[in-house]
Amino acid sequence: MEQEEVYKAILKREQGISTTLDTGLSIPHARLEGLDSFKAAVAVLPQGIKDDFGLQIRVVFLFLSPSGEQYFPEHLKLLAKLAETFTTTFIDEICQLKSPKDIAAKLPF
Amino acid sequence: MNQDEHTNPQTNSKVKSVVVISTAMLTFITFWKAAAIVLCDFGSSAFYAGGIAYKAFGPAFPWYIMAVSLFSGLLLMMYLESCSMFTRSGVFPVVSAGLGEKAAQLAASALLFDMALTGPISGLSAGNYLIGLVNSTLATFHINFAFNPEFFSMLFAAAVVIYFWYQNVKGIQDSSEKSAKIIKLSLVICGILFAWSALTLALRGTVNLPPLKPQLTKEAMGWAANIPFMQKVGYIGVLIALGHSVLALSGLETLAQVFRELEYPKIQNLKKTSMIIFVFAVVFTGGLTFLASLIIAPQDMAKYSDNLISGLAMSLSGPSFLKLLLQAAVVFAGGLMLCGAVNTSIIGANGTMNRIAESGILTDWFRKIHKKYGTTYHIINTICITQLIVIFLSRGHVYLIGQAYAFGVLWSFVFEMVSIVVLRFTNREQKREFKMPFNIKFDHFYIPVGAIFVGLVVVALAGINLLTKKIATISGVSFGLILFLIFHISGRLNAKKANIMFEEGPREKLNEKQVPDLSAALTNLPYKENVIVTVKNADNLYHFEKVLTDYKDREMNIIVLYVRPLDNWNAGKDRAVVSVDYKELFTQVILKAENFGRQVYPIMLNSNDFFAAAAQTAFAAKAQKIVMGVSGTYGANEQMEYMVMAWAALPDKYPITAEILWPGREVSFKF
Repeated sequence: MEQEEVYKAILKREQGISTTLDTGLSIPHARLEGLDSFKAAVAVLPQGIKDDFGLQIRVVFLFLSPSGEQYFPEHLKLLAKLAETFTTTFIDEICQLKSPKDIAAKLPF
Repeated sequence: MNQDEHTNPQTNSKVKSVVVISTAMLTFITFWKAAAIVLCDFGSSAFYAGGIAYKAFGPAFPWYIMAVSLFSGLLLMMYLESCSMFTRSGVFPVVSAGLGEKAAQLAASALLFDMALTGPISGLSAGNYLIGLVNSTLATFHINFAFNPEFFSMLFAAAVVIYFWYQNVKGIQDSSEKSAKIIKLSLVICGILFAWSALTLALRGTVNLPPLKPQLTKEAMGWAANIPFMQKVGYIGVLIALGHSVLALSGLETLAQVFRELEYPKIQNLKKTSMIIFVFAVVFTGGLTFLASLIIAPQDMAKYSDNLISGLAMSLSGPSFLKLLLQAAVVFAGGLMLCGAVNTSIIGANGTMNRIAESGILTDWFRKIHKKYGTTYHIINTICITQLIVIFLSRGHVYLIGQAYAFGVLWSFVFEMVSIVVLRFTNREQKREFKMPFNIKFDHFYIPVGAIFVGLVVVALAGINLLTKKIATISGVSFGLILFLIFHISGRLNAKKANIMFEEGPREKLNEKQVPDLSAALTNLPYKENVIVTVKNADNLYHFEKVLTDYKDREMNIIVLYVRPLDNWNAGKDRAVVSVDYKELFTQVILKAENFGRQVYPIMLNSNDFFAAAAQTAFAAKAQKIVMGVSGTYGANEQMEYMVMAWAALPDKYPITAEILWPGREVSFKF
C-alpha cells in the first residue's frame, strides 16, 4: 500500500468532523481497501499542538482499518475504546512516560 | 467529572444553553376522553334544546329532537371523512381546501357566532336549572317566595364565563379528565331517569305519544308567515320544525377540534369516539327529551320549558323528597355539563381563531402569547367579552338566544359538508382512511351519494331557517359580516406576512423556555424508557417518522433534539455553519407527531458540538437509544464514528444503541 494513498485517505477523513476530543486525544483514521487487519501508531506530544478549534492535542492515535463492512463494528469499538481510555488523567500519565516501550505497555490493547 | 458537570451547561463547554419547546397541543388523549370533551358541549344541548323546540312548535318537539339526534350520526360520518384528510380539521381548514379562503372565513364567522352563543345559552340554562331547583325547594317547604329566573341566570352565566376566562388564560390542564367524570355522572343520572320513567309510565298504564305534526307559532314561522305556500304544514313544516331543533347539534365541531389531540391510532379511535357520541345523542338528548314529553303534564310544559329535564324529574311518580333529590342530581350533572359547554365553547373558539391566525389572516395581536401562561390570551379575552355582551343583551332569556342560535351551527355545517363533497371531486387522489358511505361507481370514479344527501339536508335546513328564524338571520348575518370584515381588514394589514405563511405553510406558535440544565428539561417525563431523536432538517424527518411508527405501542418518551450551532461549531474544515429555521423544523415535528397521535418532547440545545450535545442529552435522559437521520454532508458511517466517540468519552456511561435511518437503509450500533 502506497504511503501517499494512506496519507490522502486520512486527510480526507479529517476534512469531515475533527477527530480531536476535548481530552487532547486526536484519532486520525481511515478505512482502506486491501487491508485485512487493523494497523495503528501512537504519537505522544507532551508539549501539545493546537488544532483549528484551539484544542491542545497531546496524543495522536492514528489507525487504519479494513474497509469491509464486517470490520466496521470492530472499527467503531476501537474508536469507543480510545475515547473511553484516553481521559485527561490517562493522557497526563502517558505524557510523563519517557520511552515508547513504556507507553506501549500502558496502552490497554 | 460528576454527573452534574455533564448535565449542567454552566460547567460543560459543549452545551451552552437548554431550551424546552412546547405548544398547547402536544398531549394526546384516549377516545373515551375525546368523546367526553365533545359530549360536554354537544350533549349539554339535551338540557335546553327540547324546551326551545317546544316553545317554537309545540308538543311534537320530541320527534324532531330525536330526528336531529339520529341525523347527527350522518354528520359524524362526514366529520370522520374530513378528519381523515386533515389532522388539524374543522371548518376553516376543510372549507379553505374545498371552497377557498373567503368561503372559509365566512364559515368560520358562522361557527364563531355559534360559539359566541353556546357559552351564554349553556350558562343561562345552567342558571335556570339551578334556580329551578332553588324555587322547587322553596315550594316544597311551602315558602312563598321565588327568585327571578332570568336575573339569576344572567348573573350565574356571567360568573361562569368569567371563571372559565380565567381558567383558559391560565391554561387548563387536562380538562378531559374532568369531562370524563361529568359524562360518567350524567350517564348514571340518565340511567336513573330512564328506569324511574319506565316505572312511572308502567304505573300510569297508558302512554300517549306526542303528535307528529308541529304547531308552528307565527313567531316560529318568521318571514315565512307572509309566504302563503309555506304556511301549509307539510314537508315545509317538517323542515321548519327540524330547523328549530337543529340547535341540538351544536358542539359537533368540537369533534374536529379534539381530533388533533386524539392518540394513536387516530382514525380508529375517532370512529369509537363518534359511536359513543352518536349513542349518547340518541339516548341522552333524544331519549330524555322524548321521556320528558311523555311524562310532564301538558299544563306544566310551559313551566319547565327552560329546565326540561328537571321537569321530567319532578313529574315522575314517587315521594316529593325523592323527586327533589333526583332534581338536585339532574341540576348538579346538568350544571357541570352546561358549564363544561361554556368552557368548550371558549376552547373551541380559541382553536378556530388560532387556525385562522395560522393562515396569516389575523394579525399577530390576536396570537399574542401570554408571558406567564403561554396562552393566546387576546383571542380568549375577545371571545369572553363577546359572550358576556350576549348574556347581558339577552337579559337572561334562553329562548331569545335559542332563536338566534342555530344560524351559526347550520351555516358552518353547510360550508363544511359542501366542501367535503367538493373535495371528493377536486381532491380525489388524497388518502382518506374513512369515506362517507353510499358511493355509487360511475365510470372511473365514485359519486358520493351519501355525502351529497347530507349536504342537501343541511342546505335545505339552513335555507328554511333563513326565512323562519328572523332573530337568527339578522343577528347571525350581522355578526358574520362584522367578523368577516375583521378578517378582511386584518388580512389586508397582514398581507405580506400572510403571503410568506402561505408559501411556507403554517407555523406552530412555540413556547420557548430556557431551563438551567438538561436535567430540568427532562423532568416529569411519563415513561421510564427514553429515545433521543435528533433533528436538523425539516425536509429530512424520515427517521423521526420511523420512530413514531416503530414505537407506536411502546411506553417510551420520544425526546426530539435539535442542536443549534454556535459560532465555533465543529462542522469540519471549510464547512460553513448551516443556519436552520428551527421554528419551521419544530412545526414539522409537531405536525408529524399530531398525525401519529403521539406525544413528543422537543428540546433545543445551543452547542458547538452536535455529537457531544446529543450524547449528553441521552446520558441525562438515561436514554436507551439515539436515532439520527443521515447527514448529506458526512455520511452515515462518519456520523456513527463520531457518535461512538462522543458517547465513549462520557464517564459512567452505560450500553446504548445508536441508529442512523434513511429510506431503505439503516446503520445501527450498540456500544
